[in-house]
Amino acid sequence: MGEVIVVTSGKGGVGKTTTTANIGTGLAKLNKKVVLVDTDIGLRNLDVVLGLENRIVYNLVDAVEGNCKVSQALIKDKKCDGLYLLPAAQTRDKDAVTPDQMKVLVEELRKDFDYIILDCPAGIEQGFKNAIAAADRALVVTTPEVSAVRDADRIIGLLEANDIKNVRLIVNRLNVEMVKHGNMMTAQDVVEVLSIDLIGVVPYDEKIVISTNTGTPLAGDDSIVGQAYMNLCHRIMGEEVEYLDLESKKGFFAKIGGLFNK
Amino acid sequence: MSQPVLIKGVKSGMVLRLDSEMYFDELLPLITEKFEASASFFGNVKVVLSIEGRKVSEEETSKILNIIRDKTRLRIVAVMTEDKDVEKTFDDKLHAISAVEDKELEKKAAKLEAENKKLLEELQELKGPINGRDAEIHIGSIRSGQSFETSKSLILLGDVKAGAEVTAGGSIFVMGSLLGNANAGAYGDRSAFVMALELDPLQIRIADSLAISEDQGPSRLKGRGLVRTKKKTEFGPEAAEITDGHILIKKYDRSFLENCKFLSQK
Repeated sequence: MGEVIVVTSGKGGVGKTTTTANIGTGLAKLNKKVVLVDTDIGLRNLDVVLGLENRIVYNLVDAVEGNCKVSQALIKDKKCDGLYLLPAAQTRDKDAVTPDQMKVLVEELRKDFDYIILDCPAGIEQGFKNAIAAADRALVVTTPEVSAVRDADRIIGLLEANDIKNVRLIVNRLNVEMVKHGNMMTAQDVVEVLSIDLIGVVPYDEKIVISTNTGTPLAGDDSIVGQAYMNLCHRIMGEEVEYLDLESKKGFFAKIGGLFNK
Repeated sequence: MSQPVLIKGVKSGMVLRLDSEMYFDELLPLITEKFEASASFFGNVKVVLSIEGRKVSEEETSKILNIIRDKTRLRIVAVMTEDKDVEKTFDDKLHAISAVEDKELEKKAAKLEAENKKLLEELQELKGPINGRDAEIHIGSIRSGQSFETSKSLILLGDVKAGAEVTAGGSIFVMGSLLGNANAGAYGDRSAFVMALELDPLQIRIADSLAISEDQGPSRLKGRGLVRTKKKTEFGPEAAEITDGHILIKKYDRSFLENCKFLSQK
């Protein structure tokens, strides 16, 4: 019986889709059967970030409206066995499905997958309502910035009001240099403000921008970011994993570089 | 015949002009229609009804009056017809009916006034100083976009996040961090205060006074925690209270409690 997780944030552009793609990839690499559902109807991105945009024939709205079977709309990932995508429609908008329809769809998917991960759109309107309707638990993504944290707090309030009690925090794009100079909050600061439990910290890394542009998620590769995502996947599965010390890896080279700069 | 039934309002009454030739029974439905259509136009007024155009019998007049009573809110106090006898009959009847209706209306008015008075008294009670011991307890934090209101004092076991607001007729006690907006003394009690374990709000209102937090200047960006203007452990519990016309923040300790006006009220 599958677990249904919604990845949400409130604020746009903080990394929901990137996180969804990488969690999916990571869990699949850990031999789970995963389906990623893009609920951002009209502004779909998950297919792009996974590099599967040229394979879309049917989408979520087709499945919900009965134009096709759900299995016909699923797209198998290029690289990972066990990873599937249910893309959103691009020519419709978020009023094309209702929360009840989402519940029915998700029930069907539960039978065949270990994890059903819903990529939620930004905002708190119909798209959000659709995405959380069938969720068992939520991952709230935020960057360590004031405006993002404010929106995350709103979202957490709404999740609690909709009886989603298992809510965990992912702090994305943590810039260690900025933190050191006192220009950015730490993950712990964010946790304090939002009063929910942390489940993952992903550092800012140019490699992520490259990976989303090329449609090749990097969870599970040997970069720090890749490891951070894998650790996050382990924690999603209930394991306890220590958080990476994001400063130390850079430390050695920074020190050498610093010597020369003086 | 242009219109078999015509209703005209004149200075002190109403004229009902009826066709002289048609059978009365044919006119009845038309009269009904006419009054139905214009009911809202006439409202609830006392009028003298003058029936013109033909002679009407007692029975026919009765029927007309019934229609008017059914379909409109008009109060016919007298009838004028071409037959003085008919007039006389209705004079007394209508007088009596009018008197009864007047009494009913007086009773209703008196009842409403009494209710009104009661509500005003309750409102006065609310506006006045709230018994400091009358408080509502809320368990849980208030998040951004949420709000909580009470007419009494409020004891909150949790935080008020930035973007959230709490309102109380009395004082507010936040057993946690106050990072959002708090409005104490919402009905005008200037002795009310706002207390928190960590008092770092965006805005505080007490009755009609408003205080806002410091703007975050460049020096504030140094150091961690941009969202906070002070660190939790630095200051301990504090309270905001109106002193000399301004909202001031004081340490929340025994001396505050002893000198506080709000709590010394009965």
